[in-house]
Amino acid sequence: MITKRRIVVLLVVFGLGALAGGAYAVCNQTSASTADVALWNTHGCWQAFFLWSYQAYNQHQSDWNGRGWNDACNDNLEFPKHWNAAYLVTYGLADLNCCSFHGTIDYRKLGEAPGSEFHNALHHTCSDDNCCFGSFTPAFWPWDTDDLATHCPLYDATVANANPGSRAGDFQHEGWHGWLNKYGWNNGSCGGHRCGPVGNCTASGCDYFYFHGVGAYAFGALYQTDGTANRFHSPNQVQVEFLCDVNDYPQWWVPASVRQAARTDANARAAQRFINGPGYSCGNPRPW
Amino acid sequence: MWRLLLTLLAVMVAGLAGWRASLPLAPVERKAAEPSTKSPAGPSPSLLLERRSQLKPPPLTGTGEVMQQSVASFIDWAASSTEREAETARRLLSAAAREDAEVAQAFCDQAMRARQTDHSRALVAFALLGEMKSPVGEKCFTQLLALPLPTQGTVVEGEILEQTALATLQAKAADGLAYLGTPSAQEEVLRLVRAHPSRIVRAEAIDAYLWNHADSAEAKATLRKYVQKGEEIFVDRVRRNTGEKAESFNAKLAAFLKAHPEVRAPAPEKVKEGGPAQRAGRKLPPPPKF
Repeated sequence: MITKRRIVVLLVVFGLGALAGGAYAVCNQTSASTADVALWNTHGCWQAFFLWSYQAYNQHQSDWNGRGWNDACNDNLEFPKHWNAAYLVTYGLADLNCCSFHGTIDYRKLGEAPGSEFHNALHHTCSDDNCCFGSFTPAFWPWDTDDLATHCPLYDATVANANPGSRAGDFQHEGWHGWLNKYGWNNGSCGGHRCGPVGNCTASGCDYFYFHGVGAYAFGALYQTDGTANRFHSPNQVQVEFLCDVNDYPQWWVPASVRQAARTDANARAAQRFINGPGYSCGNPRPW
Repeated sequence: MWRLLLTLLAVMVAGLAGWRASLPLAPVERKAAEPSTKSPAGPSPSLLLERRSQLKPPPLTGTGEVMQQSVASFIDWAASSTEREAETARRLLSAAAREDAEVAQAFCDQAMRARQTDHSRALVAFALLGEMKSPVGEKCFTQLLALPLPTQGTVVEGEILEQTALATLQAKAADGLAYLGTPSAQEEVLRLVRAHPSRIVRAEAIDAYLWNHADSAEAKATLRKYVQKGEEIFVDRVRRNTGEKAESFNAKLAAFLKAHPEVRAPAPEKVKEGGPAQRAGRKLPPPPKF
């Protein structure tokens, strides 16, 4: 039986624990995937960028200590891998009005921290919880910001999703949960998705695909909705569209391995995660 | 009474700690909390890319271990290669396939070696092998496709990571077989459509078969005889081809939506009127010049 004394002790321990801050396990820090290395080699130890990126993604030392905060050019570690993905979002897309689903301005605002039409202010953290690739947690305290966490399966080089395209794709996915939260939309009760498998979705968390043509959204307008299914998005959908834009319309210098991995992730997700799927497939199925 | 006070104190301390951590940092604190590096800072990417553009692809030569090394180096180069170098890679692979069967086997070996430790490397290696259109490649893809999908492993968002990883590589094998186009390879692709246990592979096999048959009506009719019940819609699925423009893509999409009104999503639902009030963030400087 829980006595009043035990409740008091537990609450004191909780209070002290909140002060102490969590000590978390880090991800696999022994290597980086070929795609991560290939993209890394296009920018090297670009200090000016990571000194901007940590602000853009509102990352704090307390969350990224032991994950490369003070070793920001060691691409085996989580913080360097995070800014490697941020670099892809910031510079890696060609933004072709004729052809891209959405523009850099959309993908940046969706993943970056500042509050905007896309979502309320947030900060980026890293988690070793293998439940998910990423997670979005609304702020609890009124003075806090929402938490967009990327998890170890996006960083462990032996996992297929540990590549900069998939990681950046998850910024879009979780950022869209932020959009849903900001505007009060219900996307389901299974971690912000519909519980699956259901319909054509074989996963445990499912979305609808709100089909739209190229050019339906001007660059910068991804956040728009008219409240109907004619003009709407879901988290997996923005992720697929981003990954497709990385594969199909990147800047010329984006490495082939990054594009191949992005296409693979996009098409696998589009085939499995949509109740009314499949979503589009992207890129020619020519092997190379 | 003292217990109640202690409890209240603990909750207040927790709240204050959270509030303090969320405060915008004072300039001194922000500077102290900046990330840092032990490596020397590098130049901007535009300078690096200038140097990179002078790199030439390594030759595919040698035998035995020398050939393995040469192929490994080629994979490294190809993984980093850009759009502008795609045709160069294709030309070299085509020449190598004509001259030397050992080179295709080396690609297969390198890909199989990487498949459980470096997925993107394996993907690149299988892609290069597929591009070669080699009978050795066909054998390699058949071996890859014969590997059973893991039924246990790390479960993330309801999927077994190891299973998805293998399935996506097998999907790349389907691309290779469809591109090869021999009667036996095409037969295998259709078998995948009908019977592969992974939706990822079945979907890619359908897409690859269609693309290699110019998305013809005949190809669709053939696929309809093989596709699993409930997956017929995959035969009509819209693909945004590499380089495809809006007019073409949008026309395909319109036709697809007309033929499949059942895919229209239901109206979205609100939970509540709007979310929490917008918290004013600090103004972000622009990113550094590329």
